[in-house]
Amino acid sequence: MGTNIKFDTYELVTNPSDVTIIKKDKYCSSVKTYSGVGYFNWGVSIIGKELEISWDYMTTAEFTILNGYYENDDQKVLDPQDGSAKTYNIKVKSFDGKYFITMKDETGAYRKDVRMVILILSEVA
Amino acid sequence: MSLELDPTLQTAQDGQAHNPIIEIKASQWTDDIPFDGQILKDTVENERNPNTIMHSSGRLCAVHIYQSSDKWYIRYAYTDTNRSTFSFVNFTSYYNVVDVSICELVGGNIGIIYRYDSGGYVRYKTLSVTGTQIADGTVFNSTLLSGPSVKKLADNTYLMVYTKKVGSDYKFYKRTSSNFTSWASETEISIGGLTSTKRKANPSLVQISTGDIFLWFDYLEQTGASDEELTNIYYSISVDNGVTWGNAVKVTSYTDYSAKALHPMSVQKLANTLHMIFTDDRSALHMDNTTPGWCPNSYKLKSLHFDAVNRKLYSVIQRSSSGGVSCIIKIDVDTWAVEDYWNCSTLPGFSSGWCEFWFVPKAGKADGLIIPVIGPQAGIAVLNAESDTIKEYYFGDGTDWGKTRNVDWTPPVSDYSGYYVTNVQADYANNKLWVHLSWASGWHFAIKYGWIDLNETIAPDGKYTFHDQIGFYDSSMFSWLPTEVLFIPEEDLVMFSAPGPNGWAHTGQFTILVLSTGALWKQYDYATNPDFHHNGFTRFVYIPETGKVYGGFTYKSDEGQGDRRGLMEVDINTDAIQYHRPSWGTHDDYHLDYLSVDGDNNIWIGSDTYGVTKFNTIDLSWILYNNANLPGLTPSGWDNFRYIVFDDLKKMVYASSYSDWSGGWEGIAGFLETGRIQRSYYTIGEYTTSWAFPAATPLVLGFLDYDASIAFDPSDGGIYAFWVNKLVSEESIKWDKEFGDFNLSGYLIKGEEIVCHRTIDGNPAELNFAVSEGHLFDPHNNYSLWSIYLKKGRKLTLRLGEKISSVDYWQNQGVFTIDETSLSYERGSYPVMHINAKDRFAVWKNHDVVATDLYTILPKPTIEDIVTKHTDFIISDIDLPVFDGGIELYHQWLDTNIFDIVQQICNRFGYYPRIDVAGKLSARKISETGSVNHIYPDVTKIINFTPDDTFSDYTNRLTVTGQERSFIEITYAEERLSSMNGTVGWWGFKKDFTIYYSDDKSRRCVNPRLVKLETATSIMFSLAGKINEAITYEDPNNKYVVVTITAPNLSPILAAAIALLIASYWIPDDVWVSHIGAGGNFTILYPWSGSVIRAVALVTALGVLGSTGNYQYEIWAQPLGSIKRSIQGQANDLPFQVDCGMIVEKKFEDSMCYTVSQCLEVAEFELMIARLQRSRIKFSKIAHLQDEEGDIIQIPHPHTGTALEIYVTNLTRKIKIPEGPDGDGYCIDEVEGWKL
Repeated sequence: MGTNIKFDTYELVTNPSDVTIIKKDKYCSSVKTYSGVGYFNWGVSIIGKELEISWDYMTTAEFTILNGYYENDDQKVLDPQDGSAKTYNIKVKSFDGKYFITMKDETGAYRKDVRMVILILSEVA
Repeated sequence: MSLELDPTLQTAQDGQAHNPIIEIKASQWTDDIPFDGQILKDTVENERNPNTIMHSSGRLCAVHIYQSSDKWYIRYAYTDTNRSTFSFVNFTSYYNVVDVSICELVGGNIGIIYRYDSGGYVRYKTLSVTGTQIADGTVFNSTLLSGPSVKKLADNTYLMVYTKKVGSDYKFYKRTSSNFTSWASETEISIGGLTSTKRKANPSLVQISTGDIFLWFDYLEQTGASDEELTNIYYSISVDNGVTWGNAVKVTSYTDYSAKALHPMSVQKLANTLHMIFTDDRSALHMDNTTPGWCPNSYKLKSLHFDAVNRKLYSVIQRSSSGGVSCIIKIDVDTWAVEDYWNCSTLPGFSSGWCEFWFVPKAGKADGLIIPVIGPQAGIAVLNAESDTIKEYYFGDGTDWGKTRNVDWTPPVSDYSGYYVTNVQADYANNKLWVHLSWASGWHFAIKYGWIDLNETIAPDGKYTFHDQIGFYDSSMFSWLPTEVLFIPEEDLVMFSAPGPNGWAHTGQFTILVLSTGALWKQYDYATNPDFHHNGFTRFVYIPETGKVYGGFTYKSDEGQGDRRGLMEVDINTDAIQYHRPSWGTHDDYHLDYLSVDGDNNIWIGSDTYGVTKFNTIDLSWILYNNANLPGLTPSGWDNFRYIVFDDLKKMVYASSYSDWSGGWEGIAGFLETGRIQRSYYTIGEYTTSWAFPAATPLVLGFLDYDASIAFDPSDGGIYAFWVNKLVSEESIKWDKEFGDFNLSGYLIKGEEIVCHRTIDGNPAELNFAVSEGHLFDPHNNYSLWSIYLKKGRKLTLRLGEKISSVDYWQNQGVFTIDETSLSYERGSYPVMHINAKDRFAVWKNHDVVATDLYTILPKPTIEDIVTKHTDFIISDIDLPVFDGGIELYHQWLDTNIFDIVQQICNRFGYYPRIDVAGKLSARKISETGSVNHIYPDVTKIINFTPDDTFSDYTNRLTVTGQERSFIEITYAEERLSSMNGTVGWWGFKKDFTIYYSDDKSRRCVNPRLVKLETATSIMFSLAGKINEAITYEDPNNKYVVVTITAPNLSPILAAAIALLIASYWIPDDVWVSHIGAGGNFTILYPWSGSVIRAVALVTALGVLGSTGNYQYEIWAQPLGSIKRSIQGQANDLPFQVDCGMIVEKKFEDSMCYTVSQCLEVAEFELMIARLQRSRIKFSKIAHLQDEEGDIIQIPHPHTGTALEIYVTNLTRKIKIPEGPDGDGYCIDEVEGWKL
């Protein structure tokens, strides 16, 4: 803890305002029988899980960097800095936001309501 | 019996909560090695020098050189970390690159050392693992002989080794580096045990797990008079990181110039083992009676035939100098191994006599899988290697070896003895055998030709038909008997050659007839066409595309023939004749006797003196292959060849060499049209107290597939191999993988069903599923390493199970063959590949057997024999039960697929065939009285239930018709079988006529009678006796009768009458005169008067002379025949007949029912099926891995709770892994079955 989320070595300037908890999903299902139920548990996995990360706002420069990951379809290592010491190989599946026309400082214009969906390919460590 | 699960798995399956696991593995039905390979990069560029490593990241990295615009450059190839896809990066340069070596650098980058062909520059290149160049520079500048080879050592330094020629010495040198860019100056490596002046080349380094460094190289041990080379593979070991090196150790054992070992490389897979790969470079492959699997008592090769479709070589082999058949041998040309042979001791085999000594067998012209052999008594044995049968045909009635004539034909002259088969020619496509017979006696001769239908079957004492017979007797068309015949049914022609060697009265003659009519179309001989060689063709070939015939001839120096040498060409359309003299030597007689035509219309000729020669019929060029230009072409060094065939696919020539003298060699040599054979071999050395390398075996299939480099897959240990494949003149890099099993489980699509369907209805079990990464599994994606895994025909193995307390418990669920794959590339859609696989029955359904053996054994061994003979299954792949009620079959199957045969036998005894979950052929009984395999005590696992009699009908009577096993003799209605006619007269007549009931003298009849349509009779015959016309003898074998006709001889009476007539003129008339009134009287001759005697004599003579007449008889009799009596059994479902109010009968035939009771068994079985179909139900339940089709399951009725016993006819197991945490998922069994 203490630093912002990292994509490879790039550390976000602005941590997201909202991030889905990164945890494994349980794949289970049930089938109702004539007088009972069949239960199937396929185990837990994080591979293939999609996470949504959103920012209320971010700088245009950071938006451009993240959008590059999206457009180039780079595989990145996500370090969520959540204290678990785990990192993940991810792909950026979607990335979008809105102009924040009214907010501007010396770094330039901002983007708001930025939303990123990442796909976890595998756990690195 | 249902499946027996592991007890822990059984307990888990019996419960309600499950932790399912699934595994689908892809593999290959046959061994991966030797590799066939696929092209790495589909370009027209030449590629060489592959060098590969396994990168620490899991990527496979390789480097080779390629040619573009006449320059050689470096190409780097790498894969992703899953080793799924190749990517390529090209590096161009100013100079040609001639050698390249690769290693992984400290930190994961790639280091390449390469050499230019000019200037002596040795350079380095460093790349990122994905091919981005980081640095490029010169290491040193010196003229090398070979190398360098570079390796990263365990201490993270780098070592390169190369060889140079210094003066007359060949030396090893090394350089070391700590960073790959700056290299220490060179140091000579001293290796003991080698001669300094002998060449050392192709150095290659490997450091094994002990830290020892192996330096492999090829070493030129000896050079021959014509610069032939003998090289072997050696190694030297350094145990001190390359500072000092041990004495050279020889690994390969080549001893002469026929073959040499080159280009070694080595990789370690496991501790104390070492894979060593090298190129075996040889003039020719050899095979003779010392080859494992060769038939015993082999004396002389009588033919060579190449089955190009199945890539098998066949040869008819003579047993001894005295004759007899040793065998027909079958050789796999790709593995260069004897695969099978047939002789009198094999089954099937030749009948007794064929393998004895007293005749010299002659091979016929084989085609496809049909190989004929000619024997005595106009006998022919025909091997059909497809159906694995041998049929024998005998045209002769001779007593040479006690064979019975079994071909129905008409000789042009004489009886059936004295004929011999001159030539036979197989026609595989039409399953015909063309036969040419000859006969000679003194200066008389006869010829006959026609064809036999190889599909024809006959009764044991019957006869085959000889179709479209054309015959000639002392025909002026032929000056003498032809010895060579070629049937060309496509053009309705037949060609005959009668060579006329020196000293014979006859000149050579070449005759072409219209095949169907025997009419003369063309004829060539010296007398009528002086351009035609005096001696004619010894042997000839015909090229239909050009209409030209080519053949050799015996040289003749006189009669204007002296300038004619080599090969004679006859254009049968223009009659133009040319001679082609080989350019490779100056001889009178080139002995161009054994000819064969390849797919490009080149003529390959085996000369019994000069070697093998190729004549290009387009540019008229000649090439000679002999021991001088291909040292070691024959082990004897002699260039005497005979039979020759050409493999158009691999451009290999196979020629038989013969040994009639001491020092010769009798065997088959195989060599490449383009020169030497180069093939990568491998051996796996083991270390115990020292390193030992066993004999090497081929790593690749091709004969121009060499300079291999390998790496090991870190996940499964399989070999990745890259090598040079040369096709004609283009060199390409091929690659392949020894992949064992590829686990598809991780690529199964969640949210899509995995369906396994099994049924008793005769359809193969099926497996359907979908995988991700469809673009990588796409068989057409040449850059994907995974494209080979899901090709049609590959093998899939399915296992299901449960994870219980973190332990996986598995149960086999079947072995399948990939049948269909589908994949769609569409923008925005992920490429999912759908796979449909079926069990082995699907392949068997496509495999027709022309003819099986005639079986007279029980059903289980019958199936075992058929399946092991005609499929890839061996006996351990078969787990059949002993069939209840099994009887000895008396059956042969023709043109039937393997599955149908197996199913017919199983169904006959109330079983259905299945490939069980372990992939073995099995069978289960279809019975309503079996014991319950699995009881479900409640409906907690039942999802739904419904009665379903959709597939039932109203059948309530089943009648099955069969035939008795043995023949019975029956008498048919009387019919006219023959007729005869003639004339009898006063001169007397007595003759016995032998009248056969059929022309072929085979028909048998009883109760013959003679019907006289016309008979000669007269007063004189009546007075002298009478005409007798009667059947006087009946053949005890009922094949003929003797009719005897006798008429009395009236000649003495005629003579007496004539004498009396003559004498009467000397006898005066004596008359008595009678007066009857005035002036009237008359005279009466006394009987002794001359006139009276004259009249009597005249009347008598005329009566005798008039005693002639025709007779006409018919022979009527009752033919005898042998038939199998039809029998039938009938089963009735009386209650259902009452329900229906009428009898609904179905009839069918079962040729494996031989008695009424057997027909009844089958009828009752079929009626049981019809009845059970009306009690059909469907239900779904939670999947239970114990259950299979063919089980009897007991479940409670969902409504009443009463126990229902259900025979499972169809079981569809569906597994769906949820797509997400909230997705739909299940493991269920959909069951269809019969309520018992």
